[in-house]
Amino acid sequence: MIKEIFKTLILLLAMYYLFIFEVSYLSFFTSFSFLILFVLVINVLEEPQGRIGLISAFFFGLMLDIYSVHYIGLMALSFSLVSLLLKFILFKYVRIPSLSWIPKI
Amino acid sequence: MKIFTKKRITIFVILLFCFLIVNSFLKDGIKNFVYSKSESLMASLWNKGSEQAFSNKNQEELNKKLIEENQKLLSDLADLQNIKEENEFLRNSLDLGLEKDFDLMLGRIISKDLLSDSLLVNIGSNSGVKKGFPVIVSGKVLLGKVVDVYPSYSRVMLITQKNNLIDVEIPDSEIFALSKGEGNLNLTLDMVAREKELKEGSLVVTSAMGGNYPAGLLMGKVKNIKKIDNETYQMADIEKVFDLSVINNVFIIKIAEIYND
Repeated sequence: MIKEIFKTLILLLAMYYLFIFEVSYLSFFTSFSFLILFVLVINVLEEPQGRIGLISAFFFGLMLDIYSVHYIGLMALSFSLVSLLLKFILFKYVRIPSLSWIPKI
Repeated sequence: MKIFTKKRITIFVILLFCFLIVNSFLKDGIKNFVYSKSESLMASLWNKGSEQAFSNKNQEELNKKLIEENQKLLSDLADLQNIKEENEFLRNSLDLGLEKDFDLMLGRIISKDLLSDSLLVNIGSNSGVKKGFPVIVSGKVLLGKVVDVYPSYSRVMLITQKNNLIDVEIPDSEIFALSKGEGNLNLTLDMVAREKELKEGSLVVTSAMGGNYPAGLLMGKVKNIKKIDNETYQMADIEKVFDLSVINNVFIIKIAEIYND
């Protein structure tokens, strides 16, 4: 349990610095967000019962809210819902055998 | 596997309730706190990004100087065209003398929003910034306006923000129109009467008609004029004259009244 919390905190810290890097340094070179891709990959590769994908989606949404003109929570809740729906769809309807060799997060 | 479990729905409802409370009472405080914790890191990264973006072009100093000089010359040209046309008596009576009206505050850019064309600047309500204040860069080039104010920070919506409409004019030909933000740092000129003769390269400046911006602030140059048959109005693109990669500081104009915020 403690190991999982520690792992999540490290992940969130890394995401925080990556986000800061994106909105300041990377904004000169690209408008594409690598964090979105990162969150998507976590959600796709994670076990359906896992929580890290959901937490990372929530945290990324929260950062977007804070560093934009939006209300705090708007994107956080939207991303969380998308994460849940993605897992639901992947679990229920998608079978990708070729992905089975990728280690689960 | 059940995705929408009772527990998850409860957490979602609690979060929703928390967000309502946060946005009603604590939003500005929270944003200001988070910005203050990351300001130095973001500001140094912004500067480094700015330098890197220019060194990629291999002409850092020269380009910076040329762009600033170009902005200044274009704005001088726009001023001259304005002065030529305007009656001195009208200028005095309508109080359009820009120089004496400008009360400027200097701010430093910290970051750019990922989702929209907006910037975070390091001065806020503690320094007297209010919502709706226009933001310019050197050479009276309009950058945008303040849309959110926190105690030590402000968020500036750029003129290129999607669906952002600004009353503009083309000083040498008495054309009044609207500039429309298209997002991704693009800008178009809309609602130009069909019978008016629009010229490529004409300067576009803000008009006093909208009430949000002082008249005569430079916005860009006309390009790609589109005159479509059966359309009442003609359109064009506006080539913006500011380059975010050379801007580290901005000026916020203190204005007395904001009419259409």
